[in-house]
Amino acid sequence: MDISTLLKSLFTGVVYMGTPEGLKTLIMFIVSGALIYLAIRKDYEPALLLPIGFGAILANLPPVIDSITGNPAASVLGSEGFLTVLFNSGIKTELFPILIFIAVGAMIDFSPLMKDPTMIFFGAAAQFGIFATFLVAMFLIPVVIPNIAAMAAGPEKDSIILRLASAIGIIGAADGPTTLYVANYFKLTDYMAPLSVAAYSYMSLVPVIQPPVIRALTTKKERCIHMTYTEQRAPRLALILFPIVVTILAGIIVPMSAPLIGSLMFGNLLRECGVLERLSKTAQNELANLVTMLLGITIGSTMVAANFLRWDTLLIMALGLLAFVFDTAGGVLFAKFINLFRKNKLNPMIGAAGISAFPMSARVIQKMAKAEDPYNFILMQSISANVSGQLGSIVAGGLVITLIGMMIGW
Amino acid sequence: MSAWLLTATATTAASVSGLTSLPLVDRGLLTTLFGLLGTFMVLLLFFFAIKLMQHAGEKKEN
Repeated sequence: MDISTLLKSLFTGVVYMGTPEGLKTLIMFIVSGALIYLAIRKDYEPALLLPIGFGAILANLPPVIDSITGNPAASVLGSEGFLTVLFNSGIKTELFPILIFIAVGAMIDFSPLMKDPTMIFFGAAAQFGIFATFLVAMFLIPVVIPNIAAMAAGPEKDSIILRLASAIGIIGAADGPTTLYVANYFKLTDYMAPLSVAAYSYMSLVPVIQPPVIRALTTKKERCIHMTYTEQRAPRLALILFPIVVTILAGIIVPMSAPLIGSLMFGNLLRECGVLERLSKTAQNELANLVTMLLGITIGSTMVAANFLRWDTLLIMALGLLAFVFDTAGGVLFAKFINLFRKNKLNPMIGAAGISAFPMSARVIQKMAKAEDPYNFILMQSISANVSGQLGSIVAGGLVITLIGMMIGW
Repeated sequence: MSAWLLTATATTAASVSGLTSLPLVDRGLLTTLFGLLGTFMVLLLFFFAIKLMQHAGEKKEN
């Protein structure tokens, strides 16, 4: 073996960086850097964006070639790589979304919703974006995504269009776990990277995406509307019954939503039962932190250049953003519609909190209300709409799975 | 109940006329219609359930 072959074998990574694949790797490093920058410098949901960004760096490192067999050996990816193990055990099995929902359920106080249950309808109105984007995606997918455009017309093509369009629509609910759940159910493995990255990055960008949409649809006078709220917790019995009754109802009516709504409500029951303080705190803190960290780095690991630097990624990211905008608009317009019939007007901004990004969306709405009028407190009403959005997005996800399943004969 | 009826109606329609053979656009529109209505119906059901639970809770506390 001459010295140049020896050096090439020793520094395969350096050689790789000089190839066209190496250039793609560099682009992915820049994308990862941007995510980490947003997390650290701009403080946009750092718990999510930082692990995603770092996971993407790990996933795009040059492959390790076994010097004896010449085949790619186990690195961070590869069949035995730790990120592949995490993906197979946490995302493919839907374990991470389920665990996240237990943690989120333990964090949610449904008391404001129990006191004003009319807010629950914002959780349905803000799902408008899912279905509007689904329709838009259905028309764009066969035109923009090359491998789908090349397919011969027939049931196979219709099936992939409907499945992918539905998963893209779900991004609008700002509900990462439900997006993963739907994408997994419909076996959209090839599109998992852009779908999950769009869902989680837009969740993190709620403070950037929602305010301009809300401002465009409301007047200053509407944004200054005050709403009354009494500081009194809902009856304890009602708070304990709520997670049990909702699980049973959702499980009977929309069985496909049972895993997600069941885990969310289980977490909530831990919180409200009053006898499992330790478990409730563990779910809210240790479980939430641990799973968020692992989920983030695993999602980042799907951002391999070959799967990510494609036209369909751009389409999915653009449509995901559109879904988010439609969802926000749906909630605000619904609130304005309700105001036509109400004597005590609602602040229409709370409609935008009907998405699932909890509690980011409610916080953003309160911040906007305070910016317009320092004495305007609509946080509790926004939280009511926001927790309804959690329920609404899961129900919508379950219905989408059921309906698309029927439409494609699954 | 209404959401269940909607789903049941859609299921029946599928078995009777074969939803899978409908044009893609029709299937998309049906999904949108039933999806949106279904979400509202299920949350309407939750609304009534909350009202009942509130009533039961207040009765117990009094």
